[in-house]
Amino acid sequence: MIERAMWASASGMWAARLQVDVTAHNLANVNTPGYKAARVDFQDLAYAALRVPVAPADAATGVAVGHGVRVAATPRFWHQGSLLETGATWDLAIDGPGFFRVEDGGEILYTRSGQFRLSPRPDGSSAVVDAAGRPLLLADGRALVLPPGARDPVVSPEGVVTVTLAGGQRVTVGTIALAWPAASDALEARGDGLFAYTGTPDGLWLVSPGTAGGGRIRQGMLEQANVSLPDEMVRLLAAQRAYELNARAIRTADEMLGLVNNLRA
Amino acid sequence: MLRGLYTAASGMLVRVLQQERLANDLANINTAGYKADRTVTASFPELLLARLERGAGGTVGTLGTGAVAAEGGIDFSPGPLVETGRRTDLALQGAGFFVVAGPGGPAYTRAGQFQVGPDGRLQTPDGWTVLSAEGTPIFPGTDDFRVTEDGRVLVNDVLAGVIGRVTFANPAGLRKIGANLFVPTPASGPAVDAATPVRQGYLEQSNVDPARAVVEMLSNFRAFEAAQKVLQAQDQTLGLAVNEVGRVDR
Repeated sequence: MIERAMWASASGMWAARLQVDVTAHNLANVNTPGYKAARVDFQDLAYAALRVPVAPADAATGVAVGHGVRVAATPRFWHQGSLLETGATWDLAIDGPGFFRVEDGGEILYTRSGQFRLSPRPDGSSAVVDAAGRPLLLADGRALVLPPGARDPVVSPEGVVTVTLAGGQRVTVGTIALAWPAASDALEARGDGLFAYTGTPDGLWLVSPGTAGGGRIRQGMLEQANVSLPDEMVRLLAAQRAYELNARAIRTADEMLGLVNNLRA
Repeated sequence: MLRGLYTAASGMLVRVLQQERLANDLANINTAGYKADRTVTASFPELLLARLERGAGGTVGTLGTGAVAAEGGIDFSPGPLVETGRRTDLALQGAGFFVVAGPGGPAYTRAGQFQVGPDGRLQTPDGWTVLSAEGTPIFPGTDDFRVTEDGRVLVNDVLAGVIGRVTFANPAGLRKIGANLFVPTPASGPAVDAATPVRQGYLEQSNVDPARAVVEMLSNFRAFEAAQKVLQAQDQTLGLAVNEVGRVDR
């Protein structure tokens, strides 16, 4: 059946297009702090046996025809991006593994983007929130809130946040803990640099920055996207060519069908 | 009827099958661990033409009756190893296969695009467990592990398991079942433990050669076209026989 060849090639075109989509997304986020590049993993589809060897002792293997390709997964590259000095007080980068925890409507989400800011509250205090106003969580699960009039906030590499109060004394406001999923692939991207955890509860640990398993927090720095431009360019070219090749295969199959139609010319 | 009609048609059918297999190869040009299909075509049994004239006797010669795809082999030439930077990507350097607990017993793959599942098992993207040589799952519990060249999975220098690797007496006899998996057949022989070196952070790319595939597709298409022309010629001959030779008017 020549149609099977056409559908196999169509699946190849579709796979190549998806690879272009993912590559485009990576390239679009090349300057997004904390962005983790994604890639596409492919698998071949099922095979139809057209000719099965008759005798088991027969050394023949028969003939099977495949149906094309499908996407198996779009895993991410979890390796560290480079750290860029910004000087902003609430730009926090994680130097090593781990994720910040932010609260989004009762749900805890995880991020490495580290672009926080102060959000004033009615009582004069101010919460540390991300760009969309989601509060940054401390080790005990409370939001990080600075008391009214607090000055000179410092986040130590171990995640301890200290401020100077209006009276001049230096106090500790809280400690930032990092979430560390045993299997990073259990994180599901939610956009905005946020990830939701989809694994088993005991697969996600809270660690103190700077201790075993957790990275250190660098204040005044941002983690850059870990997109590798040359790799993405190679993937883009490979996907474009794969698209062309499969389109050509469809055209060839179509011409074969045309010849069949013209048998009785 | 003209035997040539069916001979030419069998040639066209073989070319259609070849196009299907080439289409599958090209669709999987970016599939890690994919191995290209090879088709062996064979001729149908030949007929012996016998002379029917009285007295002369003896045979004239043989007559071919067409072609058929006899066997589908798999080209196991290695694909290029590409560094990916993902710790759970494993590649085999040399002949051999990873062992996974497949849908119907152990299955074998060269696509090392593994993940650590939510329960800590090393698995394929669609959840088939990667097995050790003894057939047990490997539980690193984290993706922060190291894989040595001899296949040992180390978490903080503690052994979590050894990645199973096997070879076959005749790998070309393996059968593909999709999802980058192969299963053994009587032709391939049973799996034999092997010590193929493992490379962590690398993936083996598809071994489909686009240039070769396109050239094969072109020549295959022309062969199809030629068979179609032969069939048309046979049809015209038949048409002449029916419409001209058999005319009874005048």
